[in-house]
Amino acid sequence: MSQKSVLVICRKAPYGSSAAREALDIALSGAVFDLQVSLLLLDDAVLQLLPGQNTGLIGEKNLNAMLGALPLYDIDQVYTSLQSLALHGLEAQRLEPSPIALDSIELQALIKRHDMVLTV
Amino acid sequence: MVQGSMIYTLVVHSAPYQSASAGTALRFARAVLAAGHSIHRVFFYRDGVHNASALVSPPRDEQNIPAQWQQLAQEHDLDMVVCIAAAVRRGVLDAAEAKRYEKANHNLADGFELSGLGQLIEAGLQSDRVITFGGQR
Repeated sequence: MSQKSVLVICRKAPYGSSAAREALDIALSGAVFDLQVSLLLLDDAVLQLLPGQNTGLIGEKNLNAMLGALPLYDIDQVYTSLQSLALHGLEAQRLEPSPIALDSIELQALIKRHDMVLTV
Repeated sequence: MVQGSMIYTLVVHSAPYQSASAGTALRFARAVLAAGHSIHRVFFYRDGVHNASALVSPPRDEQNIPAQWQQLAQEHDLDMVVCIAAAVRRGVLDAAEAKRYEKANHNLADGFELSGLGQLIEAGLQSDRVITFGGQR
C-alpha cells in the first residue's frame, strides 16, 4: 500500500467548539499510521497557535500541550495563510509552533499536493 | 463493479435535524451506489455520532435519518463506523461502553459500530475519494 499524505484543515478558534481538539485528534491518528500529515489552520484557527493559553477558568484542556506534541508524532509542518495572520494582526514567528504562512496560490498548491484532505 | 467506478469513504460531522449536511450525506451515499461506485466506509465523527443513536424519535411525518442509514447499510452491506471517543463523550454508547462507564443503558443503533479514528485513516487509504459532510468553513 503506497503511503498517502494527509492534510487536516481547521478554521475554528481553539475553544469555541470541539473543532480544534477533534482536528488534532485526526492529525495524530494519521501520524500513528506513519502517514505524512500536515495541519492547515485558517481564519480563526490560527488563534490555536497563540502561546500561553490559560484554560483553567473554562474547564477545557489546554491546546498548547497538544500542539507542542506534534513534532513527537513527526508532524513538523503547520501551515496558515497570510490572510489569516493579517485578520488577527499576528506574526507567524510569535506563534507556537510557528506556522508557514501561504498566499492564496500557495494554498491551492498545498491542498492539491495532498492525497487526502480532511476538513474538520 | 462497472468500469471507471470508484471507492468512496464518507465522513459525517453533523447531527441529524440540526444540520442539512447529515441528510445530504445520506442522499450522496445513495447516489454514489446508484452510479455503480462502492462505499468502503461511512465514518461518523464529532456531532455526526448522533446519526447512530437508536433513540432518535422524530415526528412520524418527518424523515428518520438514523433508520434510513440502517436501511441503506442493510441493503448494500455498508460498514458504518462511529468514532468511539466522540461518541461516548456525547452519550452514544454500545453495550460494552455502557458497562465500562457503568451506565444503565446503551443506545448505539444496530448496524453501527464504535471504533477508533484509525478506521477513518484506514478508510482513506483504501478509498479513491474521501468526502466530508458538515466540515466547518
